Amino acid sequence: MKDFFKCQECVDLLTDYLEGSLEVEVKRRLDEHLAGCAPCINFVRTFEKSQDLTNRLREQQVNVPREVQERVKSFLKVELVALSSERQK
Amino acid sequence: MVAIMKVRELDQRQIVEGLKALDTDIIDDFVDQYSRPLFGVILNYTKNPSDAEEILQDTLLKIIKKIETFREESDIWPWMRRIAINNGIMWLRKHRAKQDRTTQLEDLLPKFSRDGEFDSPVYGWSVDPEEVYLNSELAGELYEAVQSLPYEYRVPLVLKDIEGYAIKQISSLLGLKEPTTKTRIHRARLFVRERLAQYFEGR
Ligand SMILES: [Zn+2]
Repeated sequence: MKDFFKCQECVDLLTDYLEGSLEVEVKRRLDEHLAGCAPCINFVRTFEKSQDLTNRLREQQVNVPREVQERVKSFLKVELVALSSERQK
Repeated sequence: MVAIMKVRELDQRQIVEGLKALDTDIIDDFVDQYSRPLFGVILNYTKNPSDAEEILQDTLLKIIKKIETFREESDIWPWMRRIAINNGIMWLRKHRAKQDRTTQLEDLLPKFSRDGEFDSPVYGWSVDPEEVYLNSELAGELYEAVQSLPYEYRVPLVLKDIEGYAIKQISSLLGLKEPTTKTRIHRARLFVRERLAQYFEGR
């Protein structure tokens, strides 16, 4: 019977822990381990930070090369001709 | 480096009316205005530029064809973004075999000793989330980290942590069981954290 969580178990359970979906008893044991483990505290904080930063990528925009935009426009022109003759039927 | 092509900014009403009427001038401006943000969304699903171009074309065409179904009282960008995401996922389903499997996820998961303790020290980071905007090096590092994930981990992570979808929704979009989706997201997060840790500790 194991009484103490190891760092590895904390790391494995971290996503469930942070979203609050752990069973009460499991959460209690994890909190207990965290209270006395500096590396895990750093790990939890940086794990959350990393998630925050990832979320920021939402607004990430990349450059679309000019020629890509031009090709896309010509592609659409051809498609539009087909589309409008379809609609006129 | 950034070429400022001042294009006419269309408002939502102009876009909706222009697309409905198949107005080619409006559609050209619409392409100028929305290619960049849409391309950013699409590149989360494929890293290959010519595939991304194909998905972009298809996405824009779908937007034009579906504009009649757009509810005008809502905001058009999230609607277009969803079309791009769905197209990206559909593309992946069709081209699964083409996907690269170069990154070994295991190499960048945290390592533990036999008694379950961290193998190497874990440091804190001093970073302000705003830094992602201010410091393009960090944003680039993070983007690279996400991009280097194998697609079966990357896509669930992108849908959860970038697009903000629920586990249930992601699972049904990708045809995965919910526990599988959760495990993949967790491991992908560990991988990204580890890449960032290397970056912060090395700088
Ligand atoms: Zn620990």
